[in-house]
Amino acid sequence: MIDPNTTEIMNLELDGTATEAQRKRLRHILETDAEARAHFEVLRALAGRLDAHPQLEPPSEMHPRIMAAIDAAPAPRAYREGGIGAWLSGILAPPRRRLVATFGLGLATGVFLLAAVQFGRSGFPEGFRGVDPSQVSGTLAPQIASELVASIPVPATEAGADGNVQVFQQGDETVAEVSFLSDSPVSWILEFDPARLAVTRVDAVRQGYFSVSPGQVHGLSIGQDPLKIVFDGRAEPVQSIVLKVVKDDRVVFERSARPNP
Amino acid sequence: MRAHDDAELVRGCLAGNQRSFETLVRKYEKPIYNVAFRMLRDPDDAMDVTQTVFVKAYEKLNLFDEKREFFSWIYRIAINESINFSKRSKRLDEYESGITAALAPTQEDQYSAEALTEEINRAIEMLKLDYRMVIVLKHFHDFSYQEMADVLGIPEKTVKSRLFSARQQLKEILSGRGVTR
Repeated sequence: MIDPNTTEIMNLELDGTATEAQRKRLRHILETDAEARAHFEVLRALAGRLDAHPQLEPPSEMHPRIMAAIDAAPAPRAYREGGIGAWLSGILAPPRRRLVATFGLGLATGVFLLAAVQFGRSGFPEGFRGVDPSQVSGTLAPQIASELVASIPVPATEAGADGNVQVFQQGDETVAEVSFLSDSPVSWILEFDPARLAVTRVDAVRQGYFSVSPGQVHGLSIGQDPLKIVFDGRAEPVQSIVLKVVKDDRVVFERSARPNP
Repeated sequence: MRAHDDAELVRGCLAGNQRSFETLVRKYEKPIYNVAFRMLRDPDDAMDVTQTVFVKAYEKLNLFDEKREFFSWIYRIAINESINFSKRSKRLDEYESGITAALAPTQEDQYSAEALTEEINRAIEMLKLDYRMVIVLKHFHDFSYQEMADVLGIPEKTVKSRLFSARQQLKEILSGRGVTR
């Protein structure tokens, strides 16, 4: 029986990450323990064969297929409009894109039903249930030139889901676009300085919930659509915008916006 | 091509230059296809997943954080898509019942290089997804522990533990099939 520490050193040696002390120790073990020596030889042969494994060539039709699918996909932009119009144009698009749009509709319906069930549960935060209509409306933002002034990258390693907050300045308005690359609901809080910013509307909320209070927007992102918060005023300094990701009533991620270089 | 070139291509694409994205596709389509194939074991499924990965990356390019490596971002999408695809097609269940059968020794003691490659492929297929992922990333894509941790969203310590266990399990499967060297 080879002890786990020895096995670990063997593996580290195979990966080229063993320290000099570990290598010395391994050499001694291999010289004195026949079982360990045999085990290491098999492991080394296996690692060698794996390293030498050939990469497969993808089918020749794959590249044109990928590019055709990308041609049919909506172009990415630092700040783009989405909403029902984008979905409708998908429905009216060529077959491949129509299939995607139809699939999206099915997915959205499923997520909506799930969200509806969650919404009705007693544990669902009260803050998400009510939105003051005098503060918030559902219109889409007009397409005005905007400048990316700050962002908050959200790494999955810390927050449980990859995401991003991008802060744009457009005239006297500030727009914060909150997105998560996750198929699971993500609960978050965006804090800001209420003396400088007032929420005027929240756009593109097709899958998710939000509630607005002075100095805070609570959001629950469901699916991957961005949620856009439009403020009256300028975020100065941009660091006053802070994102918190909440999991099981605990803040698992908190970061201020960083100015765009 | 280095990481900052990737970031430049991403910026070009976000500025409306689709050719920039095609360059990224050309650079990463083969490794992403290989990841998907190793995870799913079917060339058609791997091609479908590879397409989905690039379309998703294209649509979500504005979520890419330039401070991270593009390759680890797209590999992460590839791993997630492969897992989702695998779950949808219920191949995980097939795998779970696969190990016992694989442990039965074969009659042959000698293997040609081609047969050996095939045996190793089959042994990798028998690994559970968590283990298969680290073997694929380490040995077929030459990732470091840290890069694997970044792609898989797990601590480096867990990466090592999974990798060492995966190798041990591979060794046992291959030994069970009469492949000792």
